[in-house]
Formats: sequence, structure tokens, C-alpha cells
Amino acid sequence: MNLKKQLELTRWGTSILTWGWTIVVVLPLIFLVSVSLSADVNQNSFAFWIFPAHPTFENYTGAFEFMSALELPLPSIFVNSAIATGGAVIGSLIVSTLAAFAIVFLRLPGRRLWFNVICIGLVVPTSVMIIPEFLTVHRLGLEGRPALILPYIAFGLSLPTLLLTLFFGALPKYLIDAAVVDGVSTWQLLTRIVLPLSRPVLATVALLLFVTFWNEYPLALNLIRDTGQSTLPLAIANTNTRAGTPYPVVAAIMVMATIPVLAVLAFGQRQLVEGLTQGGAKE
Amino acid sequence: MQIGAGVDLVGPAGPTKWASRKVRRSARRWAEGYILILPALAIFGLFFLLPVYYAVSLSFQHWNGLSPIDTAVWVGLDNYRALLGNEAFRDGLLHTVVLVICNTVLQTGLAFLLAFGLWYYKRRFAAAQRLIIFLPTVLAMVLVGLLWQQTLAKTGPINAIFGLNISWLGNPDVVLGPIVWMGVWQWTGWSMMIFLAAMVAVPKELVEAGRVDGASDARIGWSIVRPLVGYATALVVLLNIIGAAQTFDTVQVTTRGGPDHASETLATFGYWAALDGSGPGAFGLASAGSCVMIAALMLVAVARLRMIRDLD
Repeated sequence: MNLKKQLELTRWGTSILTWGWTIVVVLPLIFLVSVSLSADVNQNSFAFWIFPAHPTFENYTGAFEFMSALELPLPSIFVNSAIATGGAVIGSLIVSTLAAFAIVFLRLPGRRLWFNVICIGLVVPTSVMIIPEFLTVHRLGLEGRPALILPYIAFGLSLPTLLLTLFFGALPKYLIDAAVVDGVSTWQLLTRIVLPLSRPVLATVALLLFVTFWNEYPLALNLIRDTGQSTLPLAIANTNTRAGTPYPVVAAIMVMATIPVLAVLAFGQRQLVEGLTQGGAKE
Repeated sequence: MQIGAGVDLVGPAGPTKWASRKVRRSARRWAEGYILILPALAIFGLFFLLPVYYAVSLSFQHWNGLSPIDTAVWVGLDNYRALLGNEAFRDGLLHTVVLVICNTVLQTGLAFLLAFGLWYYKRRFAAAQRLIIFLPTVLAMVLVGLLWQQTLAKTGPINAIFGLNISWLGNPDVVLGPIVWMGVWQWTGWSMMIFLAAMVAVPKELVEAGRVDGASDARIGWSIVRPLVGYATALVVLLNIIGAAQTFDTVQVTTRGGPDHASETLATFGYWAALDGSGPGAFGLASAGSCVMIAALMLVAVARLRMIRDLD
């Protein structure tokens, strides 16, 4: 009897916990969407946060006008984010693919050293590096978009290099050996044989990097000198702190800014989760 | 999200599988390998290693960020001494330790329970719950900060639901609570996913054997599943420590470390000391703070590598 009770207790306890946490996660997101759809926020009732008082899209259209009035037109902020994110993702992927290929397949004295050096980047997060990074960009005299994208690539290349090195090293040896016996050039080995086999891991890494850079704030805050080049997180944070910015407008911008990462989650969930949880299951 | 945080650090020896000698020899010109790895090393050197070097060297100098950098004065260990006496830094250090302990314990514990509940009882809607709980992981931390700033506002829903009238982010006595909470809210789902990925590999026979022997569900979770996902636990703990230690975005967009440094962290201290209008504009001091943090994170990583070795 006692055992039976215990069984039920765990069953019910975890059920309540998982449902409870699901609700805790969802509620604030509902608040956000609801506020972004509300015409009037001067209400102090709980119901208002869940059901928009008078549902309307005018905050969304208003967001465009509001940001244009601040000389930060929303479309150009989206473009800024797209350029910074795109440049960082593509740049990181290219340099890390070449590096991993050289580490695994080519004659490279000191390969373990180079590999370990690049892996240092996995431990130190961007927010710790904001002042050092600011100093470096300042001293190198960099300006404009490269001043943001190059540091992004530096912070973005460790993870793909690690993942690709592990992946390349695990490719079936007979495939590679056969190709070499057939006399393919180094470049052909990369483009005809290794890359086509690496599509899944490249996709995983690209999604991870996309989400990371689309959301990145500390470096953007420190390295973007020209507000016209603000990325979305920076523009949202700055707009929110301006006196007199209506929150429903900020909420509408936040909802719009989240759509791309939600799309990633919807279409690339499996790869994204795989990339984020690697190392959890020991093989 | 911290780049690379999801991936386990390479084992102590790094990967052991290189291509066969035959393949490597076939690269005729020895320079080929170096040419291909050069872009990565150049960018990493210029924008990762050089900044660390600058930070270390500037941490021994005085510089206000305005005068030419050549005019910076060498001051030895003054900045580090000043750090110890700086109240904002001491607050930031204390709060960062509190954040690391609270977030690591809460996120790891909660994530294990959630993962076990979703994995062990094959319930309906488990996949949907898993997805929803994971969702905050892909949101910008800026957004999470602003979201909770509004949700916790004086006239916001939390005060309304519980009939309170607390200024959560304006009261120095409670402000750290919401900062901890934002991390727990956002990252628990990520830790849960790591546990779930590890639980999939738990052999069914072991769980069955436990059940046949009459072990309760809780006993199976604690005595069979928990040790078997020990590796994932170690990883989750490390990721949560690194994650909490770098807390910046959520603080910067809500309180900027205030009121009166009550929510300052080590990361926001660096920004405040060097670049914030209300700070002293002391780059040397800020650099010293950065160096302390980089060193601390390296120590955590080394400890972590030791741990992996012990688990092996």
C-alpha cells in the first residue's frame, strides 16, 4: 500500500510539475502577444493581459511609423540584423570548414595545438569580452559593419571547428582513401566528397549560429557606433529605455523580431536541439 | 545563448581520429594545410586572442578612453587593488556568485525533474510540453528581460494575480530575485533537453529490472536514472555556471545594474566602469575586472575537464 502511494505520488507530482512549468513558460509569452494587440494599456486587470481589450493591429503598423520617426526605420533594422547575422554565419562556417578540413585531412604540423587554441573560444562568453573587444576594434581603427561581423566570426568559429573536426574524423576511412587513390586534388576532396557528406552537421551548426547572432546583444551594444546600423536587440533595448515609448509598440517589435527564430524552431527543431544538446548522451 | 556552450568541451586529449597517413601525405605541398587554416587562425587571433592580450595589458594601466591610448600610464597592480576596494565590483562579484549558485541549483534540479517526468511516463502531449518548455532558449535575452520587466511591473500581471504591490526591479532588497528568475525561466528548458537526450540512452532493461524488484518510480529516478545520466548532469552544471556567470543582457536592459548597484554583475560592472555615462570611465579598472572573470572561467573549464576525466 505504501509503495502504491509512492508510485502515485511521483506520477502526480511530475505531471503537475511539467504542466505547471509549461504554463509558467507560456503565460508571459501570451501577455506579450496580447499587449502587442491591445489598443489601450491603461488597464490594471489580469484579464486584460490575457485577452487584448480591443484587438487591433495598429501597434504593428504604429511600430513602423514610430521607428521611422526616430530615424531608425524598422525595415532597415531588420536588414542590419540580417546582414550582421548572415555575414557572421556564413563567415564562421567558411573559415571553420576550411580549418577543420586542414586539421583532419592535410599535412599540418602542430595540428593539435591549433585545434586546442581555437577551442579556447568555447569557454569565454561574449559578455565577458565586451571591454577587450571594444579596445581592439578601437585600436585597429575598424568602423561600420566589419567592426561587428569580424568579432562575431571570431566568437562563432570555435564551435563549428570543433563539431566539424569531430565529424570529419569520423567519416568512413575507405571513402577518403579510395578518393585519394583515384588521385583527386585537395580541393576536389573537400567539395566533391567531404562537404556533400557533411550537410546535416553543417545545417545544425548554421541554425545554432543563426539563433545566436540574431539574438546577440552585448557586442552589438559596444561595437555599433552608428545607430543607423543597429541590430534588432540593440534597437529594441534602446527604444524601450527612451522616455515616452509606448510598451505595446515595443511588444509588437519584439513579436516581429522573434518570428525568424520561431521559424528556425519550427522547421529545424530536430537539428537545433541536436546541436544544443550534444555531449549529453555519451556514446 | 552562449556560442558553443551546448557542445561538450573536447575530451582531455582532443579528437583522436585523424585521416590516415596516406591521405595526409597526398597533400603534396606542405603549405596547403596552413593556407586553409590561416583565415580561422587570423580572425581568431585578431578578435579573440588580441583582445585578451589588450585587456591584460590595460589592466596594469590607467586610461580614460578619451585621450590617445599611448598616453595611458603604467600603474602596476593599482587597478586590481582598486577593484578590491570598489563597492560596485564587490557587489557585482557577490551577485554573480549568488546568480551562479541559485541558477545552477534551480535549473539543474528543475530540468532533471521535468525531463524525468516527460521521459518516464509516456504521457500524451509530452512532445508539445517539451517544445514549449524549450522555446525560451531561442529567444533573445534582451526580449526575456523586457518581457519580465513588463510582467513584473508595478501594475503588471504578477502583482495583479497575487494582489501585491511590489516594485520588483526597483527595490534593492528583492531585485536579484527577478534576475535569477529570468535565467531559470529561459534556460531550464535547455538543460531539460540535455537530460532528455541522455535519458534516451538509458537501457530499458535496467529500468524494468528495477520495477520488477519493486522499486518505486522515485527510487528508479534517483538510484537508476540519475547515476546513468551523470555525464549529462556534469555538462548541465558546467553550462549553467558559465551561463549564470555571464549574466549581462537581462540586467542591462532592465536595471542597468541598479538601483544603486543592487543588481550589478561582473559583466555589467565592466560596461559600467568603462563605457556607461554614470561610471568612472576607467578602462584599466574595467579591464582588470574582465581579466578576473576570464581567469575564473578558465578555472571552471579546467575543473570541468578534470571531472570528465574522473567520470571516464
